[in-house]
Amino acid sequence: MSDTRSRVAERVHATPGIHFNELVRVLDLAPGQVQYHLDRLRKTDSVAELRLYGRTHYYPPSYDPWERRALALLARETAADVVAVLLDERRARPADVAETVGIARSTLEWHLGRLVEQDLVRKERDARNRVTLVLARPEETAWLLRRATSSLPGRLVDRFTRLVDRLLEE
Amino acid sequence: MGAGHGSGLALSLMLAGGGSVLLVGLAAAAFVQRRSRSYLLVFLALATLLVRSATGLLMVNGLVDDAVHHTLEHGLDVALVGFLLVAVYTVRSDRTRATGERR
Repeated sequence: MSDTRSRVAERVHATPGIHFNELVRVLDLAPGQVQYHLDRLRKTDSVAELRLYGRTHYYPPSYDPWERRALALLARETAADVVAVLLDERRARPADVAETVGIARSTLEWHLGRLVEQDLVRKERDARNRVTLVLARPEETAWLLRRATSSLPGRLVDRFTRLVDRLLEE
Repeated sequence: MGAGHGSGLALSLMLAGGGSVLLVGLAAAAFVQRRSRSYLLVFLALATLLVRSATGLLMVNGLVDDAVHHTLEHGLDVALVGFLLVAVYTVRSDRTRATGERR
């Protein structure tokens, strides 16, 4: 395996769920070069690829499809904060989660949309149609949360939307 | 004309320009994610800051007249204030649309 290719493979194994742009940034290589090596690594099943919400993420092949989707979402700082609260509380009402994390309801709902869609979080409704949030697979989620890493540009965009949502809501 | 302006102006133009490129980039990424009118307006408001630095650069390089630059700057202030006011005013209608109450 070429030196560059093993660097790409090592980076994917060290930060499972890393997306393409971030990979290019941390390795300081040309995008075409990274793409070429990723294609070769995929052909030999050394790396798995997932396209989710307009981004392409890369994983060691040992992660199953649910884990791959979970890692992609947990790389978002705010989504990780929401999941951490649910790990502590086990079950919580959306208003309480928003308050504990310190985000506007609109921010929470946007992240919940994806977390529910990818089956990390479930919305349970009682007889009066009141929603309670629970983690679909708490143990696996806790394990993945420790492995998820967020990129600096991703964190900045997350914090920007937190700020704007709060400013416009209050 | 460039010699008439101090290095302080050049430095503040660079800092403001660099900072607004970063902010406008964040606002663009946020708008692409959310696709709401509020985020479009916040993006446009921040974009006026970038245009402000750009016109300042044009003036320093003698490509735009001082008087034109002055008018442009205050015109951009009007645009910035306008975008933010509309963003604040339309928050409620955006919210109801987001939860599907109108559809």
